[in-house]
Amino acid sequence: MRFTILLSRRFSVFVFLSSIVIANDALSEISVVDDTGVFVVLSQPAKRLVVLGPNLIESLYEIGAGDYILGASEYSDYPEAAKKIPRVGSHNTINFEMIVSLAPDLVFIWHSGFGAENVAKLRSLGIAVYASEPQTLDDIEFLLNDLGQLTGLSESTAIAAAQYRSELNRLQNVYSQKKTVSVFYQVWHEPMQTLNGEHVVNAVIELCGGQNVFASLSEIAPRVSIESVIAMNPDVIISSGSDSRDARELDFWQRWSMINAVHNEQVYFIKADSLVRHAPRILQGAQQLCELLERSRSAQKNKVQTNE
Amino acid sequence: MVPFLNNLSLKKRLLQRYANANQGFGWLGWLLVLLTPFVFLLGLGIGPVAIDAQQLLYLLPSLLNDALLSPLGLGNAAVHDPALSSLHIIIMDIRLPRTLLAWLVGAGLAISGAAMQGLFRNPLADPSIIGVTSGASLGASIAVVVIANRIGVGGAEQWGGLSILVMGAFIGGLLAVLIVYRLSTASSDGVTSNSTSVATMLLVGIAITALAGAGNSLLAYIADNNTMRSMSLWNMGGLDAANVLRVKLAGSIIIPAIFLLMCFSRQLDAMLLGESEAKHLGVDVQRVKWALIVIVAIAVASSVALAGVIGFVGLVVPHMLRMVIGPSHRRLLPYSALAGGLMLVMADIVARVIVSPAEMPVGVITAILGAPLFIFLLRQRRDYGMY
Repeated sequence: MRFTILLSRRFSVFVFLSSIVIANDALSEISVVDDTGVFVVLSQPAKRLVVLGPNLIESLYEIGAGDYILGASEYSDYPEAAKKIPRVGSHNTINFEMIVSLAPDLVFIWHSGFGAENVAKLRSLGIAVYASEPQTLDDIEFLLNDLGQLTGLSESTAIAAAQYRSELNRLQNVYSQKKTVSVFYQVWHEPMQTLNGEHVVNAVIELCGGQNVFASLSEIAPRVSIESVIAMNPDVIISSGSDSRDARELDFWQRWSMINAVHNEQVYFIKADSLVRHAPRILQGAQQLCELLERSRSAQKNKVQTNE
Repeated sequence: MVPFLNNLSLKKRLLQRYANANQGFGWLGWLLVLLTPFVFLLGLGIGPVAIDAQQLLYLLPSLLNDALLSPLGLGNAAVHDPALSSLHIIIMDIRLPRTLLAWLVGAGLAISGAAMQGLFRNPLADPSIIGVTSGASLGASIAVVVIANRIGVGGAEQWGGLSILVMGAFIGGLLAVLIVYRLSTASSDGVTSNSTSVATMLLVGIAITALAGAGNSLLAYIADNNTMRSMSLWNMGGLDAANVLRVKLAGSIIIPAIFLLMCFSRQLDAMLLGESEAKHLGVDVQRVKWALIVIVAIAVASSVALAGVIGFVGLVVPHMLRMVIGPSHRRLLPYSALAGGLMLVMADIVARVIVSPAEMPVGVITAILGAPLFIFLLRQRRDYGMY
């Protein structure tokens, strides 16, 4: 008895769902699954966007959807045009009133950056939300495809995604099989912080044929000491920062000549923005990092030759 | 907790104990003195780069030479073996400054805690609980913003930058102590009462901590990204930034502060009996109070400016010592300094070993040790909540 009720319920749900699918087809609705497994369904392509996350802004400009963006979060500074977009939130604070008043078709949000509560709150306000949480370098291509589908810019997206894919493949072919060099990636000097294997920077290091010496630590941005860097003895030290002022921190390493990287003068500065954001621009940062690692390989080779 | 009762027979016993405590330095003091070099060797020997006991002993003469004689321009022993010479550098430039800074900060915080508990006549007075460290950290954060604007972000590693940092922390810490002291000693009719109200003291501490937290968040909005990240150090607390400059600055402030505080042991003992009793014993209570407040603020502020917020050392150490040696400050103050130094050196060893090669903020370790004791003390004396 019970079983039949259940069955019939299930069956009615099935009928209901399939009717939705059929209706979707009929109205040519757009349906995309976001990174948290939620269906984002739009009746027509979104042309009024609020975007919370600098990497999402960059990606939208990349596919030609920059003009659709009505509101953006703090630190959306690339490309130049993004700086002029009105700000509707920073870190984990979101100006919900302003977002509602902009009446967006869709909000793109960086899930872990702004928090699940904020995503839920936006949805409870009746706003369609795409929560993004790209992890790997491949995910950036999937992100571009989703953005393109939701904004209806399939042609320019296909070009951007193909470009990204071919550049990623190129870097992979050129660098990932080269001789492994160990890398210490320094996020910050005081307190000294690095990134573990879960971070996308680690993926870039591996793409370039490097190996992050602190990949196995459990925290995503662990604190380490100079001494643990000495113990790990990396071949290359990459110090990242936001401007040239941070580059002065490189002098700090000169005292520790027992580290291979310092001894062989393989301590480099790299601008963090292009390396830590999940956007197509990450491959520019990757190119730069790959070249630095390549430089350290040839330095090692030269050294061996002179020793002979 | 004998010292904080006003019962007359207890006062007699207190005086008796005070008389007994005056005989010599005591076995525990000597034990702490003997343990110090041993714990220092542990601090120098343990870290991510493995150094065995034999290497450490072999390096010891040249280390002592470098640490003690070279600053005076005497002696110059070079280590020739390249493997050992890099160990020598690791110890001299990383572990020794770190161990010394840990000792100085621990000693300064513990003796400050002991002196404050005497001054407030209140066993829960700890620089971190009553908001002095948060006041100092807000002062330091403001100083960081000033330094970043005037000298540049890296400026905090020069004498000038560090001095501004210490000054900022001192002003913040001093303001916090003054506010706590004024509010918790003033009774409702406006007359300064004879003892402090624990509830008021803790509440004022909470208020100051919250205010300083809000101030720090506000600064985070004003400051640029880099300055903000520099400021986060004060909220985490850490000795990994230790270097020779910081040790010199900490030493030249905290060591005099320790000796100055020790000079007040007789007055603090007299004040345990009550302020009017202390006046009858010839203590200039008002002057002593002011002097203690300023010295404690200096010691706490410099430790916050140079090593970040490290809580509970000033609570745990004096309490454990009182359980063994009683309340007399003649012994309590120097013992607190010695034991506080040892405790923080050991806590820092744990902090760098427990998640090696990553680092744990040492404030986490001291809080894990200290917070349960704080709760235990609150439970043991329910009347702390009754004032």
